[in-house]
Amino acid sequence: MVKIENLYKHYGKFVALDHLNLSIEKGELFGFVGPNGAGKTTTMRIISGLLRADGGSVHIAGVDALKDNQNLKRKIGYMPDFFGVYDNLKAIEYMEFYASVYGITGEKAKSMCLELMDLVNLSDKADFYVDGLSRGMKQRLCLARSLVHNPELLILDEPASGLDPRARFEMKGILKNLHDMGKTIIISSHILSELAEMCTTIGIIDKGSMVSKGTVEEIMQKLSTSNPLKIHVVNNIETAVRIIKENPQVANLSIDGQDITISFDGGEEEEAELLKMLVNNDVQVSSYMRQTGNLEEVFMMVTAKKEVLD
Amino acid sequence: MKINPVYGKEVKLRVRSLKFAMTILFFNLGLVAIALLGFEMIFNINMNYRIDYSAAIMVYFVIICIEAAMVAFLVPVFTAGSIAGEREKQTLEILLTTVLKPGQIVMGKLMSSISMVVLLVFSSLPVVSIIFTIGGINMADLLQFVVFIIVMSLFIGSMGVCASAMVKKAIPATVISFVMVGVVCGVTAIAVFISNECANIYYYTVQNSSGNVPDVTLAIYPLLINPAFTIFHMVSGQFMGENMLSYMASALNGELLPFVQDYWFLCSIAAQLVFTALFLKLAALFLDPLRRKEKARKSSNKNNKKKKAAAMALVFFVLAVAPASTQTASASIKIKELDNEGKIKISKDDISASVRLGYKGKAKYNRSIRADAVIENKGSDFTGKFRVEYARTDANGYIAIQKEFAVAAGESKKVQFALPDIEEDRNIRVAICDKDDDIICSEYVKLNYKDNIDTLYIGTLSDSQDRLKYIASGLAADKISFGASDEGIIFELQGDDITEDDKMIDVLDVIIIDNFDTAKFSKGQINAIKKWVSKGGTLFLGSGADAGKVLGAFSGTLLKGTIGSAKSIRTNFGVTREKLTSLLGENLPNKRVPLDITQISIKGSKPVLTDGRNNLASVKDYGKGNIITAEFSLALSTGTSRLYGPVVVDVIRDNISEQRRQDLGLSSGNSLQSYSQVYMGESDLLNLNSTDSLPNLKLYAVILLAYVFLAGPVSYIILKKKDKRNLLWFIVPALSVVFSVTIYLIGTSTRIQKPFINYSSTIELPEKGNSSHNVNTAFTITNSSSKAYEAVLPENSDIVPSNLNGYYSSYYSSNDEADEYDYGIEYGANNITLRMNNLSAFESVPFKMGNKSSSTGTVDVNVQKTDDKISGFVTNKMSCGLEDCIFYCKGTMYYIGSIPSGKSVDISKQKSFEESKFSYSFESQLSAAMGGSYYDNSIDVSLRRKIGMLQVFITNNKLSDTWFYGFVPEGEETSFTGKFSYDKYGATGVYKQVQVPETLNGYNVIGRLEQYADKYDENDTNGFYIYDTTRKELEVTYKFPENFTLKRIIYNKETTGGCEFELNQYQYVETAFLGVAKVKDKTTGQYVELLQSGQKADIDGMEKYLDDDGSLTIYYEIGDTQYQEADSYILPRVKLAGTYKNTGKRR
Repeated sequence: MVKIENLYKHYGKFVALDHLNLSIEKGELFGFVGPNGAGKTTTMRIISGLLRADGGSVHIAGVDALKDNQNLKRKIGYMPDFFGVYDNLKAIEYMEFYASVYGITGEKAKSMCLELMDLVNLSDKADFYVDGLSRGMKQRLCLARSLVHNPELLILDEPASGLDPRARFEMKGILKNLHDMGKTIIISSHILSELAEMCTTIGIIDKGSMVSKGTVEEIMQKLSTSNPLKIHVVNNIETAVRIIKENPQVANLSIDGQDITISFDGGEEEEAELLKMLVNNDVQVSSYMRQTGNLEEVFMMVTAKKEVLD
Repeated sequence: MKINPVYGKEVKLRVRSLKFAMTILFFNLGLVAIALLGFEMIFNINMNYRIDYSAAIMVYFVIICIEAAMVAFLVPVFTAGSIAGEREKQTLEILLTTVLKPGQIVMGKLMSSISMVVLLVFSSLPVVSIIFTIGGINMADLLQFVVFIIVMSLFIGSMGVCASAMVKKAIPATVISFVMVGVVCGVTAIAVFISNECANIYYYTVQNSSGNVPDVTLAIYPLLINPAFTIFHMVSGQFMGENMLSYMASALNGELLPFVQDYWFLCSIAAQLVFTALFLKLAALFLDPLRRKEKARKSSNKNNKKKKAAAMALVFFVLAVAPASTQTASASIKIKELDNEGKIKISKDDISASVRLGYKGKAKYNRSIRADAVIENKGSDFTGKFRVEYARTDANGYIAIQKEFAVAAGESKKVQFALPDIEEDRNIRVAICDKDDDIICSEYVKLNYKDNIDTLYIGTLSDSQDRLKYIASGLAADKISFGASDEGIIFELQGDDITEDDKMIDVLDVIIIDNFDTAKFSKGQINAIKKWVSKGGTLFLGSGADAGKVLGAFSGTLLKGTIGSAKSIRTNFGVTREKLTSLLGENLPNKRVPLDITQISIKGSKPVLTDGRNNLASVKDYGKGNIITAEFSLALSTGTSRLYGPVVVDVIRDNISEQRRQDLGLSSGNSLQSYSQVYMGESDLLNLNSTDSLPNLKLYAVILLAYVFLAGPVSYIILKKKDKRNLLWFIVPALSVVFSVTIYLIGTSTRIQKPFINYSSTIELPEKGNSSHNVNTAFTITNSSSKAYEAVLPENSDIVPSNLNGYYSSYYSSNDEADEYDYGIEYGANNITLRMNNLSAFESVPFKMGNKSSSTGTVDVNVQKTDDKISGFVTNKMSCGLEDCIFYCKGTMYYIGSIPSGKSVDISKQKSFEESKFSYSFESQLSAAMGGSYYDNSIDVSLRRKIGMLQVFITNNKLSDTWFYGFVPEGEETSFTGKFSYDKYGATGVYKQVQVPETLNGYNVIGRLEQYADKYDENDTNGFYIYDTTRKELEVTYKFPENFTLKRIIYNKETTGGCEFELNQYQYVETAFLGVAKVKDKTTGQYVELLQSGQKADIDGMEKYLDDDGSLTIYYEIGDTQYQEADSYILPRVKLAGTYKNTGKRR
């Protein structure tokens, strides 16, 4: 559905996208993650036809997105991170306006718009003036708006930003629904965990290039292995340190009182083997676990590592 | 129909608020107020004494200019916020990710932004339509305005949208739009002035004033994109019928492309649309994200963009504005000199013309000028027109007079016509045009006005012109003139110089015909001479042995009498030796010379030259002029003319008609004329329009107010209830159209749709038995449109444009194309066409027409005055009745009223009132008798016109003693009104100067003192008018008819017209005597006071003051006037009574 190859964009000396490669399959709910300034918005704006690329190619549903702007726009629905609404316009009229842009007018437009508003749980707000709606509602309205021409690909730039938890929850539900309806969706966020819950695929971008991409599990997995192993020993700390240091899969080690934190490259079996060795050498271990869940920390770590590599 | 979605949404939003309805309401209310108030001011005749339709057109232009100004100010505000506003609201990006192309967004924004403004303009059409109630503007004009407004909105809107797309914020965008509008409207205009200045500076410095001024007409072209100029041009075209482009082009020393000049409006519309497209394209480029460079390098990029935009703008304007530094042929006019004969040659290829203007290039003020051309054709048969053009007095335009001619191959043809009088300094253009009025060759000339009006112009017509040269030299030697320093001028005429149009000889004061076969004259030529004499010309006919040769043609028409037998005599022309010596300045023998004479006896003539044995010449009054008949041929032999030529010259000098004496003597100080102009002139009369067909403003006020409220709040409220406010976009225009059409239809009843004529005709009633009478008509043609039109007169008349007083410019267009003149006369083969071009709507074009009409009879006045008692009858012998008849006799006005055809009225039984002709009460009594006053707008306009005509007549005849005036009833007047098919409004008056024999205590009254002035110092007086107002003493000798003895003089209100007695301060000092008159008592030798100004005198026993020969010498002591600026004043007007010696010679 989306195939980005060697996408390059610079603003003066600042390279925003550095030969970015990305492909997204049809039906995926793709989470686009990266820190602020990593190039998420730039990428999304380029594939939405709002920004000119300096190099590379983008193909969306078989359309050369960098050249065939007009066809591209029929394929995509875009929701920017920040947007405004027209004053003095009712929600339904707001919808109808965008429908009319695609040549859908009259009763047909009205019923379709109501359907879409129902989809985003706004059907009861049809006759409300747009500028009177809450941010969450506006966000949902904008989402519904981006669907008026039934696009194959939805590009949502930070759809949840600025929303309260309840609104986020609702948004998530809607997106899941859309995904279930078979839409390909790209959502960007700088909060990985937010995406993790609903995305089928996640790509991490940093400094203009993809750092990592895969299913949530794959990513989690990938990230987990590199997670530090936290060991709390009750006694024989010296023995424990010796044994750990002898293990070739241990890269790093830090000791904080009775706590030892190590970088361990091994899988679950090696982890068990290490524990077994410690226990066999009379080291009493009260806690032995990989640090999990804190995607952000890991994320920070990944990006930090990359920085080291650079 | 697929509506641009952006436009669709915006217009939907716009009608949402009540503001929409209120804007329509208040905008139109304002316009309604201006329109109705303007019309009220113009039509309310309590404020003006005439209806000035052209001022009503101004109301229309004020309204449309307000609308144009509104567009110029509102459109930039609306459009500048359109895209920048979306950007500010962050709605633009979403729009850009939709399938809408940037161009569509731009168009949608532009359309929606101007739609409100255009709707406002459209909603005002019913208000504008009020102009249709009088006309002047037609549907096409209104359509042109609508087109203009739409294009202007698009053009200015496109600049606003472009600015809006260029910058991020609405406010800077607004500022930029206004700057752009300022550049387009202001800089382009200033460029024209700067170019003009630069060209002049370049000419005076670099070129050192040599060669031609650089042609910088290119500077005009940028004005094509100046909407302010477009409306200026449109308005001037619709309203003034002027094309100022040619003036501008020639001010910039060149010419515009003819296509651009002719189709300026279309060109400017096209140019503005092209620029609109460019600006929109530019806006779309700015908007297109894929073409727009982004962010980061913000500052530098932005600057580049700005630079680019600025550079683009600069290129546009530099390309357009840059004045050409190259020189092209300058189009400034070269004024050619007339040759010694007063001729100029113009030619092109095989056609050439020798054109004569005036007499040897000389002309007089206030007299008609002759123009004749001899056209030679060396090529194939040619049909064309001879044309004379000159600048109008009242505007920057020209009058053209032209005459058709056809000249066969190898032949030549003479074409002649008269031009109306014009002032000095006026460039006259003579031209040959082809059939289509295109000028094929032309030259500009100036007439010689160096000779003042007080120079005597004498035309001689003779087969032996050489032998009349002594008259010229006599005039030159003697400086015969009337107190003026210039000698007379002789013009040798050819037979065809006397044309059938008396205006061709109008400039001449004296015509001498001698040794010329007048049988060659056509009836028309004789009539022309007759008419010329009756207006004051002096005709001097020589005879000699073959008296019939000259006199024959005039016999029975001008002269009645008998021609006796011819004989040869020896004569000294009645000149004594002393007289001869004094005339010639040398001591010569008083010898008699041989002379062939024919005894002529002319009815009503009196001798003016006699040698004691034979009568040699007689004079007869004819109309205002004189006819002198000599019994000898004026073509004297050299010897005779050397001796007695001065006698002949003296006869001429002494017998100039009173009319011409006044004309000549009063070159500048003719206060009577200026008095009449100040008070009321003919042009006022001709501007009287009927109030009958004025639009009913109350009705229109109701209709317009109904419309304004309906289109505004009412329909808004109704549609709001139904939630169909979107329909307002259709309902307001629909209502507008419905109401406009309604007003148009109702207005049809008052709309002026074709030219109309206002006229004032005066018929000079003939003497008994004359078969025709002169009709002088002043008329104006007025059309409600600025479009060209023509009036065709089926028959030949003397018709000239009448000269208007007012400022004038001698500025001439360089454009060689025809149809540049404002109005003209075309003398065709069978008819006369009056052609009007380039005139404002409702601009009155004045003409004067003189023609003969077969007599429908006359009015006989048989009235005598005996000892202040008047008796007798006025008999209407015309075929129609007369209305509002007035008889004025020596200070008393008789209001007769109507006289049915064939009836007589007894004058002594008429209502009379005695008043001074110089006081307003005289006129007010007269007006009251007729039933109103000229300035009373509540009376019928035809009555006002009559009162006005009579007032003008009285003003112009203040020094006239006795006259009759009456009006032909409406419907009876055929002489003039039959000529035009247009609506005509006017009156026809008839008048007659009459003689009323008067006796007083048995004495015969012989008229007024000034008629008999004989000896006086010509530098100070002509015997009646005093030129030198510093002169304090004057001596005038009066010589009375032979055998008459003066017995009594009367000086009072009646004899003077009342000025000295009515007006204490002598306001009109030129018509009043001021001072004391003294005579010498022959019995005592003492000087005694005869009379004093302002004090009645009635002195009997005048014999004791008379000289031995019966003449009277009066010594005047002139008093001081409070009126220092007076140019001249008069000697007292005194009635003379006396007795004739019983010799049987009494006349």
